[in-house]
Amino acid sequence: MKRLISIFLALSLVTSAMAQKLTFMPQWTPQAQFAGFYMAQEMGFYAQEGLDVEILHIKANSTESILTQLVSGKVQIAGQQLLQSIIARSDGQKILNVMQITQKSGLWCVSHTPVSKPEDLQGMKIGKWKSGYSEFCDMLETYNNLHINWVPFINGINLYVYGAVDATLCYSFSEYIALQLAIGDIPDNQVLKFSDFGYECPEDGLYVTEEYYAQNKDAVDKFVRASKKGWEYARTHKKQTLEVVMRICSENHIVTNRAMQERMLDNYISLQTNPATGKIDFAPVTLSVYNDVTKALLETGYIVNKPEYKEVIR
Amino acid sequence: MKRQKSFSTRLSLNILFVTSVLFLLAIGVASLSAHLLIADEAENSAGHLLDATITKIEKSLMEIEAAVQVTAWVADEQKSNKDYLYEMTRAVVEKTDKIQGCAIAFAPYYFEGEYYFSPYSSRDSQTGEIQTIQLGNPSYDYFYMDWFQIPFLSGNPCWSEPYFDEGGGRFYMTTYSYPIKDSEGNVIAVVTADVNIEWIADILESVRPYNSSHVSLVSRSGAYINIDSGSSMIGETVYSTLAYVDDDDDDIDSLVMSMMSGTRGTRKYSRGSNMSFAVFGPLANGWILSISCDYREVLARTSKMQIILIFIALIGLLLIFISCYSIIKKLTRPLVKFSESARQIAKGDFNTVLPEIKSEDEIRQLRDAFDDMQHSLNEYIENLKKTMATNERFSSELNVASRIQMAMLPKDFPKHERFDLCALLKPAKEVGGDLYDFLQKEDKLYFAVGDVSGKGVPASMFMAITRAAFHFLANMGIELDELTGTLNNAVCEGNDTGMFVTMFIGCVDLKTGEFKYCNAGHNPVVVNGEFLDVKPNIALGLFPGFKFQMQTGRLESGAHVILYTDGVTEAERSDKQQFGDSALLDWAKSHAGLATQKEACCNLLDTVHIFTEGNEQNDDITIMTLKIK
Repeated sequence: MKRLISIFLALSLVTSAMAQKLTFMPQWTPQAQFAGFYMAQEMGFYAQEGLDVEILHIKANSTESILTQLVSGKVQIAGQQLLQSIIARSDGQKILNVMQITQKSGLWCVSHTPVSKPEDLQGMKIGKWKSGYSEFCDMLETYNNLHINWVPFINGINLYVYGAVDATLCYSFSEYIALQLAIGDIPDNQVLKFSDFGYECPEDGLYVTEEYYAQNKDAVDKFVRASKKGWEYARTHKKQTLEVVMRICSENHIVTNRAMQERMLDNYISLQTNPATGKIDFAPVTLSVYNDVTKALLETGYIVNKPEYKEVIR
Repeated sequence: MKRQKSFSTRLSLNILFVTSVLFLLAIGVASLSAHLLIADEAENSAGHLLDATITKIEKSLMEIEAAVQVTAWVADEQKSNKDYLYEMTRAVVEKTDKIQGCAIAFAPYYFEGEYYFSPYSSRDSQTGEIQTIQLGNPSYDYFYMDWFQIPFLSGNPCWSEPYFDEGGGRFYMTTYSYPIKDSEGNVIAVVTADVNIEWIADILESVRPYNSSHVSLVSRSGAYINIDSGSSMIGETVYSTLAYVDDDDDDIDSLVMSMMSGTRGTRKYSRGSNMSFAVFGPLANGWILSISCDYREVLARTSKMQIILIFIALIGLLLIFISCYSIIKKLTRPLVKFSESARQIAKGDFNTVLPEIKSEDEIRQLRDAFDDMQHSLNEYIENLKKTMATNERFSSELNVASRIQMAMLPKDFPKHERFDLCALLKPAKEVGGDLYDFLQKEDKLYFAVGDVSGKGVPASMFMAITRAAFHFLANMGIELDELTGTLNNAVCEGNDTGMFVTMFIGCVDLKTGEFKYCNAGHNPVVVNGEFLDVKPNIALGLFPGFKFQMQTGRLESGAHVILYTDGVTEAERSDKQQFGDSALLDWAKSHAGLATQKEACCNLLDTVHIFTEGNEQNDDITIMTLKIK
């Protein structure tokens, strides 16, 4: 019996020692946007795949971008948005999309005054994230012949609440909910949903460097498989998932509330539904969407060379 | 058997019931009024408290604002002296207890070659030591912090949302930011003061009007300001807490919306079964203060007052019951005595002593009425006694008169070989008006039956005169028509009252059987079962000197004669049916063979009585039967 136990312990040690370490960095500080990854970690789905995953969040005031950290090898897998990733690839950063999380765009604009079309944003002072989306802002101005005074912000909604801006960009699953919880319901006629005007660029995806993928394809596949399992668990165990999200927020000194995270989880899951199939299948970005996005980036001058679809999407 | 409660108990209970209802109504109305009044007062008080608290907080905030503004002015003047700016931030923190940190943050590259320049001093919350640093660096890009960005963009001072500043004070703070502008109105720097929120929480804690009251200060974004660093409410907003309330709780939704609209107001709302109210109003910096109170606690005083009122009411009701009972008992005590007196009077003791009443009220009137009744009864009884004595004497005299009258009539009927005669008189009253008589003079037998008009003593006296006169005249042996005429004249004499008498007078010669008779207005006699043919003439006493016609006939051996008065034929039953002539004739035919005339008289009387079925006799009945042997 003692011999059997010794063998089992030895095997465990060997397995543990063999578990591949990798660090995953989501796009932002802890919140329900990353609930599927938290649950994959919490429920041991990564460990079951033989992975020793560390989820490392970026600091809100970090000066080092996620892309930089990914390319430098500080993290092996990172959450990124499609636009930025294509630009990075065009700039020579060899990164690959290994999993497309959201299938629809949740990019909205909330104004203090009624807005019904992009032209209504003419001349406004509009808040935008300090990191990212400059390309979108340029596209918006270019294609609609607008002049907008963009005001970058790091976090939150206070520029809008305090009237420092006329409008603010927001995600339907994040800042929009935070606004609702700060000032109450926002009239529909003050919300501009860009997807209604042809902007259908799916946002969040998982990215790795080409080099890392070449050497650790198996580990990446395992990570993706376990992450999908984690998201499925989060969808079906929302109460437990929320507990975990709130705990991680607390551990990271993130000031939030349960209502915020609950609504965020619901909304973010809804963005994962594939419009083509009506299912949550984490399907890769289609060639058609890819071509549309790259075309816009070429026209606005953000890229000069169009990366091939296969170079970016795996 | 259920025992009847006394009058005093019943009346007292009725009064108690009515009083209880009135008390309950009064307590209900008083309680409701008190509830409304106290609720209104509590709302007003909470409103005043809210205003006073807002003023107090604003005053404290204004001290900070003033300190920051002065710092901004001086900093603007001394902006070229960087060391002085550092000293300034330190001095502000040193001199102002409420300010935990102070920064003078300049716009990017305000100083040539320096992207960040922000002298910052802060007090260590543990040691109290003040540290001065340059705040801006790549990992703390203050240009994108709310405290800098909002006044920088808007050009207006503002109080930031509560936050944990990891780069500065390291505690839960709010920051007042004041922009410094150049001559062209561009913001060149922002002066800030970090304020530990706990002193605000202390103020708010001290103004809680009730134990269960909630005093909340929220920022423009609905974040709670008066919470300590360990509170679970950190990160929550008014709307996020609303999300944890039932979806259908419209009261709370409406309250929060009113509150967050930045207006001053008061609203009632319910949480489950509890009713509460909240007063709320904005501070000058856009924060919103609210005080909510549970009506249960607000009205707890009235509940105590209600209990006291009910207790007083119960004592009052008990006292009222006891007072009413004793007063009514005292007032009605004479009635008990009166009832005893009435029983004595009913038993015939008219002189029973009535209770003494000293008061001049209805009971006294009742006593006087009783007294009058007693006197009247005594008087009445006295009169009654006298009347009864008189009646008794009169009745006695009537009896004597009746006996005398009856004594006048012959009782002994002769036993004769040629005839059998018997008669009887049954008066309707004590003294009757009928008469009969007979007289045998030698071979002649005189007999007569009469009926005086009227009844009673006068009729009896008239009858006595008539009978005496008949007896006298019959004894004279004169002819029957003369006898009747003389008798008529005799009764007419001195007959001022107009009385008269009908009479049948007969005379039979016992040897020859000759029968002479004279009828003076009387009923025809029955001879051998048939009415005798008689001339009516007139009654005696009506016309003096009237010539009466005598008639003659024969009474052979075996003849049976029946004389009677109208008391026989007019005897009535209760249904007013009279005995009548035919019944008399039937009887005469069927009973002619009775052994004796006494038996015949009695039998006819019985027959009449049987016919009347015990109905009261309303006229004298006189029967005389004669049997010729």
